[in-house]
Amino acid sequence: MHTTTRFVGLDLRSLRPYARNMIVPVIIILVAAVLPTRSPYAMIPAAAVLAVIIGPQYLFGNDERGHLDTLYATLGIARRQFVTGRYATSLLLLIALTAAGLILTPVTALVLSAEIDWTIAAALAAGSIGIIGSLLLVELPAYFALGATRARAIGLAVPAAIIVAVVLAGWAFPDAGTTLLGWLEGTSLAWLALAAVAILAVLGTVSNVLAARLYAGRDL
Amino acid sequence: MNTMGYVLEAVGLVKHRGDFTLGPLDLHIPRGFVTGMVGANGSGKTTTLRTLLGLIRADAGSITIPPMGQIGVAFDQPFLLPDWRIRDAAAAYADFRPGWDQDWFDRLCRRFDLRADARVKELSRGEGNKLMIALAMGNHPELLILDEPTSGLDPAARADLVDLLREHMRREEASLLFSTHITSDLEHFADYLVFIDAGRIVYSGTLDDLVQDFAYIQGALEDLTPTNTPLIRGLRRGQGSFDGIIRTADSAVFGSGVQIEAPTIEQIIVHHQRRNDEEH
Repeated sequence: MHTTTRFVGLDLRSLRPYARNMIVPVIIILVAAVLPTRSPYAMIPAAAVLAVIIGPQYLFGNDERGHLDTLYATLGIARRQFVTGRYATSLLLLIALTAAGLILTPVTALVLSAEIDWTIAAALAAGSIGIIGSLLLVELPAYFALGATRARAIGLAVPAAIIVAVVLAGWAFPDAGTTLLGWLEGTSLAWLALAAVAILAVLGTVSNVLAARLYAGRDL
Repeated sequence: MNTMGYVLEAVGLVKHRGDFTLGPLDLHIPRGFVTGMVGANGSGKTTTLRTLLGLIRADAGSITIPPMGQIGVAFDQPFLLPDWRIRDAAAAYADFRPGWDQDWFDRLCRRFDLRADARVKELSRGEGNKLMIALAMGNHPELLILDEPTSGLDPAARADLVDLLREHMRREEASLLFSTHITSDLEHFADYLVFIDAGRIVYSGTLDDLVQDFAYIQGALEDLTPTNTPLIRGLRRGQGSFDGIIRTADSAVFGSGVQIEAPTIEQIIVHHQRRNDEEH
């Protein structure tokens, strides 16, 4: 098996001991996202946001806690392979969490006695992967360059800045939300998915090259 | 010895870290032998090992080293997730290390009294060292690089580890580079020695040559002259007497009144690292 693929397995194994610790924060975040809006669709972006909150913090935090950068090097995992593998793990987490949000949406609808339109749900999932994925790709190079502790501020600041920007945009353009939902309804799901993939591919390549360059020069 | 006789070579190795500068170092580690690296805390032993392994990026110089899959590495601190069990760590090594021998690893764990279900964070410092050494040796690597492998071990465990490393060395072509500040480890089984002080190599060669290159000197204070005093390393003045280390080649500069004898490794290292009395 390819080293990068095996690295993803190792990366996921490093999350396993902390899975139980993640359950309570995950439930709090999901409930907090659904309660104010009382919309079952809120489950989808909220689950996707978990990838940006949990992913880098736990993965890079484990590297620091266990001096795993040294482990990777002594196991013969080249720095380039580590960077690519970590990107793959992060993307996998994002897709898995978004899928979990999608699966939880009908359950939430049942609890809230609401109807769901699967086209909107699927469009939201694609949009969440595109937007949250882009967010991850912006902040990952900082984690590779600085490690979890020093990059934590950036990890919090980037999503916070985006939330503030969205809130400000909501104030400035009150009908934007309705317009966006209407646009999503009227747009082909295939085009949305293609756009999300294209955005992620371009940003992902730039981000990955930058991260590899930053990590290559770092003393472990 | 020709190039084929070295398992690891570094030429003109330099690394700047804040106020500390390592090198320039030229290092040649013979294949099939045990090389001990000694030096005081902060002398650059760990930085040298980490730079050789590519964990620290050298500012200059070249390194020739076997592929990482053929090098077993253990530092004085485990580099494993504290919540992993020993079997999780072994599974990670088994996935990546070519020629991983699970039976051999299990035997090493039994020998070191390590349970497969023990968590890394539950291990004592000595047990952590033993685990890392067992993992490092788990695929019968061509080269073992161990940083302070005996620190944190009680005397019986230290003797057992030395026996284990001797057994490992009986394999043809196996080589070992280890750092230590316990000179008895060197006397027990090192063939070659690299002595580092303030980021520079003071001595690199066989243990026998080291003892021949340096001499331990004792004498009366009146035997010290402005000419011979600067030649003494780690000069210690007592009530009417002095002692220190000199280069054997400088013996003739001292009068017949002084006692010059073959030094122990510990005497050489301790006196070399100690600044002369007047420098304090």
